[in-house]
Amino acid sequence: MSKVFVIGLDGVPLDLLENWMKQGHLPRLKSLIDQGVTGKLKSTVPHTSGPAWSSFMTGKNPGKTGVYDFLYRDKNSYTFLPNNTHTRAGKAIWDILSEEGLKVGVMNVPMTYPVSPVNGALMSGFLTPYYAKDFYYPEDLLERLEAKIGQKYYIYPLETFNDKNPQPYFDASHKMLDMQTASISFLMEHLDWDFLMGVFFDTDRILHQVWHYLDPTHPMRKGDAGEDKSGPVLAYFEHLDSCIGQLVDQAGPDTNIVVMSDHGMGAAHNMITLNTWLLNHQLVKLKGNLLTQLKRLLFRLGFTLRTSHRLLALLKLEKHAEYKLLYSADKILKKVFLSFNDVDWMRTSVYSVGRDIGPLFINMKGREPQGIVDRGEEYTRLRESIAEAARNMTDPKTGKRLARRVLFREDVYNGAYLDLAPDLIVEPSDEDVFYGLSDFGSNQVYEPFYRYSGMHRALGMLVLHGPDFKKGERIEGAEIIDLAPTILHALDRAIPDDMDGRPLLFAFNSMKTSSPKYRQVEKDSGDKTQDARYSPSESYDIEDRLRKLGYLG
Amino acid sequence: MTPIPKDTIIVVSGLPRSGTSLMMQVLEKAGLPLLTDQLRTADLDNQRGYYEYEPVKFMKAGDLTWLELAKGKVVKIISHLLAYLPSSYPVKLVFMLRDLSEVVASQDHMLKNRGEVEKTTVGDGELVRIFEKHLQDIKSWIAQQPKIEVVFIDYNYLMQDPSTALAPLEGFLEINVTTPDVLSVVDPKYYRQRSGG
Repeated sequence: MSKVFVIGLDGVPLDLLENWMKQGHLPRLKSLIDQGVTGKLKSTVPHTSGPAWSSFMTGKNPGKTGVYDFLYRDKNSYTFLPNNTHTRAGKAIWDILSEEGLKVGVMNVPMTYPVSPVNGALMSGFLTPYYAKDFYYPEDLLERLEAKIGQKYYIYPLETFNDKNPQPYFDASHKMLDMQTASISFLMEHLDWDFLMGVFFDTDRILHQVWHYLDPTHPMRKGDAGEDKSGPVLAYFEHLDSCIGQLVDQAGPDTNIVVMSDHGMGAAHNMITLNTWLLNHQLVKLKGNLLTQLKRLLFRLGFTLRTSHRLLALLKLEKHAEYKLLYSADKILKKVFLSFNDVDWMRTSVYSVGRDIGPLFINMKGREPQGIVDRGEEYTRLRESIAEAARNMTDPKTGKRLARRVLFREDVYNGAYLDLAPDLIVEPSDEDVFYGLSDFGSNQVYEPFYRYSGMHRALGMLVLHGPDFKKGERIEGAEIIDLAPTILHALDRAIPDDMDGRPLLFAFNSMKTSSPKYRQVEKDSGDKTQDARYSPSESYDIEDRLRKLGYLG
Repeated sequence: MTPIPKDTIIVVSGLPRSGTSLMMQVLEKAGLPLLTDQLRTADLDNQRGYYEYEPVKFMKAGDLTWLELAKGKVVKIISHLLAYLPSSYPVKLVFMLRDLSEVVASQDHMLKNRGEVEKTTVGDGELVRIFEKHLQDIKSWIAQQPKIEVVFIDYNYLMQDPSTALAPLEGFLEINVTTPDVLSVVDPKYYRQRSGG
């Protein structure tokens, strides 16, 4: 059995790398692609790191992990908290491998805090609380690691992007890349590992911030449109390429390598603020008290979260804000700006939370603390009427239609945690359109995006390379939920039959194309009766029947 | 009418015995070009032929080169193979639905005609349950495909009221389905294998 080493590159689209490779850049990644199996990797809905990494590590759709976004609603209120390992259902692949006695090392994977013991070592990644001190296992790991790398280990970047003076940001990103590479290298050296994984998260942050450096026509180009500004971004990825090469060399030629990203990235041009649209259509109702009415007046005049971000930038207080704010400032902002604190929930039937897809939640009795909509016929009728209204949603200024289609939750998800999913998903008409900050981030329904020039796309990247994989092949249709079963198959382990993903058998060479082993799971992600996917044994029965009928080759 | 873009593939799908061959005939009569090879000839179970293209059956093995030939044409892909379609092709999907107990009964009848003894321990009731789960899965999958547009056609409804049941295809595929030529395809005498029949 060959070992498996997974390199995660958060938010990196394959096309971007391959365009650079055509120009002769990124030789180490190109070599992995040339000698391996490569394709685009489909993320979760939404294509956001919280649910995507949760589905990666469990092999399950968000209906089974219960992680639909970065945040989840506290069940007793209308406040939203960051998801973590305790709010995720389903075992992570390193937990499964640990139970089977394999040695694992996990470094900087998002959504791994709070940490739990593994047979090896684990340091949590993105979504670890900013000031947390207990983000690693075992207890002596951090001390040993810092002694080896000769510096303090940190999860979050030390510089925030400033378009007028970007160099400190890039310098800090290069330093962080070296620190993370040394940390992964440390795990590789000090563990007798079977499975090892390290994630470079800064790739996502950089592409969010400076996508306009790669796109000379991006609206955020001010005065320098047409000029090639890709140099510093390419330099970072060239550095990353050499770090990957170093780690792949250290892992050795007998190791199976997986390079993957949890989602892609592309230009962000415009945004929709769904709660403002709901407010305009009287679907969200506000309280009648004086403070709320005053906040509403200020909101109409433009005193919004969007304005506050401009103010923070002017006062140069943006530094670290993008991470710290997740945990500390939300309560303060809700008091200052028009927010869910001002909503009269007993008269409100629907609301929105989330920014990568257009999620709408019905204010449902028995689920929301002040729910008013009955689950049966009332829910069905209301959902249909909201869907119809959303399909006809337009930009008030231009009349442009804003929604491409509206999905219901059961169209997208299945599993024991379906009830936590948004009841409707409003897909925007264009792929460069995203959703504004909650609660009422802007007083405009549709307007230019701000803060980031790049936002997520559904398709990330996948490269499979090593002794068990084919060489020089392309793979189509791979999904992020397929990676956990694929890795288990590569490590000759049985695949729990409640995983939604399937092993990517096409990618394996003749030594590994035998049928994957499955094992029945009694209880992992909760109520199995809502599990729609049929089991491997049922699948065998059906395929056998269809073959006999002449419908399968 | 606006013609279907040249790079779009029109796929007819559904469970085997849910009316997919019938839909192929409808679309042929409506003037759309088909991708079939007629390797599997007509028999008692499909007296007008299966309208299949043999390489489709091997999609799972990874050979998808034939998809280039399917651009601008109609091809039949049973629902179990649909998820092997790469996401890069724009697809207009006509998905057939039929009462599942009728689907299972029709498959049982066909197995008998082919001299196959059903060796699995799965009963008809269990098969219906499994097919229900499969359809739920495949509908979820379809909903997540950005390049697939879908219309669902109910076979049982089609038998009762062909012109109304086919109407959604007019706007979807820019074809005329109310001509006598097209409607003659949906002949109730071919509604052979009802549940328990």
